[in-house]
Amino acid sequence: MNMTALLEVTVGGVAVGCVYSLLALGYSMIIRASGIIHFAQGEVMMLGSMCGLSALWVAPSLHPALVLLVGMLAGGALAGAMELLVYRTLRRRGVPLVSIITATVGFSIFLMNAARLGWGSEPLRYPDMFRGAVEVSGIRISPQLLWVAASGFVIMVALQIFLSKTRPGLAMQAVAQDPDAAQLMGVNLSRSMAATFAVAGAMAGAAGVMLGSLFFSFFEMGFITGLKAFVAATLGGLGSIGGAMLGGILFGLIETFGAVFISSAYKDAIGMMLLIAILLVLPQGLAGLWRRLR
Amino acid sequence: MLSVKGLVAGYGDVTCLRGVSLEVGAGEVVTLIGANGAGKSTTLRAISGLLRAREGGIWFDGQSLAGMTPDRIAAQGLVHVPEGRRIFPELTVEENLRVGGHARRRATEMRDGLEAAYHRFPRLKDRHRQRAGTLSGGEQQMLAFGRAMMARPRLLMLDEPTLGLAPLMVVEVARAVRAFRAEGITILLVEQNANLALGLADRGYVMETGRIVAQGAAASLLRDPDVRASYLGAGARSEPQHVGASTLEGNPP
Ligand SMILES: Nc1ncnc2c1ncn2[C@@H]1O[C@H](COP(=O)(O)OP(=O)(O)O)[C@@H](O)[C@H]1O
Ligand SMILES: [Mg+2]
Repeated sequence: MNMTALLEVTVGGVAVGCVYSLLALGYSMIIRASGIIHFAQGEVMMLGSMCGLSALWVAPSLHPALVLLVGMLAGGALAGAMELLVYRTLRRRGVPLVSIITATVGFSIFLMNAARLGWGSEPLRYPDMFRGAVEVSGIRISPQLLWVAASGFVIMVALQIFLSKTRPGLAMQAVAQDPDAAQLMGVNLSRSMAATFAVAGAMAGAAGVMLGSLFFSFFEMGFITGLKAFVAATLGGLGSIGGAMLGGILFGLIETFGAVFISSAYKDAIGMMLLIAILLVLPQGLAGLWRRLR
Repeated sequence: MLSVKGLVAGYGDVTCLRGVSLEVGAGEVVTLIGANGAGKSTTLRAISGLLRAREGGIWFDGQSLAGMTPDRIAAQGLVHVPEGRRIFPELTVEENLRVGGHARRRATEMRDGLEAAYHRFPRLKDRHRQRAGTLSGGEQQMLAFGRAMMARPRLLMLDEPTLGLAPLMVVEVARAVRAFRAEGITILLVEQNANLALGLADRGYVMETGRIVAQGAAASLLRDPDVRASYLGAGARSEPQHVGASTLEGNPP
């Protein structure tokens, strides 16, 4: 394999990894704050993807950043509404966590069918938002991949800043670490929880636009991608923000390199086997390793 | 300022508070003492809204707190520093303080609050970028105090602030409590260290298995023979150096 191909595979892996990272972040934030494994996260991503695509149908020359924004708003609104209208009510009625998690699976299937109704069952191509290619020291790289990777990084940095520098962001972290103590400091639990779901949904929506622009949008796209991102979150250490970011990118790289060097037909299996192997060595995921090193 | 009447509360089917009534007047330091498991923490949790009262009422400045969520109660200026400090371990010291200042929406309010907290607890300033989970127990208690200051308390409920602290830090805690009082903050202090608590307080309540069994001026509780025997370790505490036959005779097993 020559340098060009190596660079291409790496950028591709990072780009796909960013998609996993954004989704994994959502899983981790939600599980930290509420204990819920939000299995509908992949479908939130899919609907973000569909909404971004529809925005492009309406306004073909829409700037890619705005398409991304449409996806984020759609995903954020959807996940926030799910928490406010359903999960919160279930929690207040004392429904056990396991049952709520089961309800998220139900949501996932419902949303998939709703999308099929709205957007049909055929894979839908995103129109090319970019043309030409970018040259990095003589090596040509698809602008699509670079755009996805760059957007992913920008969003993740923005999330970090939001979480550690803003009032609602800090409140969300406080609720995740100690809900009682956060409330005693004047943080409104329901509001903070809804905000957590909304932010997680926005991450997923962005991931949907990114993944759609790399491949296509499809009503079932959230299923396997959502599962893989959950695996990436586990790899990073469930509940850890940094771990989710790193886990997603690592998983994207492993999968892409596995597909190129071993077999593209079995790339999913390769990723999963590796996960199990890593968990055998690092039960707490990458976040556990980080904690031990410090 | 704070008035609790006939409070009944518990966890699940278990009733821990069986009709607790107490009063805290503006500017007072009132202590609630009692053995482990008496229901002191549960009382504070019910007042701050973390636990719903089954019966009885709680009034703060004449306003009923019934059905209010903890964040709204905190917003009234009734701030609870829970047992075990409960700082946010993965946030930095300054981020912890900022969460305490959640109600301070304007940047200038936040800055003034941080300045005041750092002025009171200079150690926090030295460590403002350190993760709170890595602080010592005493430093964590100072952080819990500073965080509560950020929430602009008019009445502070402190649950066992000296628990597990080295003697030097216990002195620091006592100094902080006096400073809060000097600032005009009313205090309800829960302590197992009854000596210290009654030394700091104007009045005290003694709690046993979910009931108030004694109350009065701190000075008279300190002299009360029952209170001395049960909570001040009379005899055993005052003559710790006499180990031998005479001590065994003079003290209950
Ligand atoms: N979360 C809880 N669930 C069930 N029982 C509890 C819980 N917390 C405290 N208790 C019980 O309530 C009683 C009073 O506890 P607590 O208020 O913590 O006492 P204190 O603070 O005076 O030591 C004890 O019998 C304790 O075992
Ligand atoms: Mg207690």
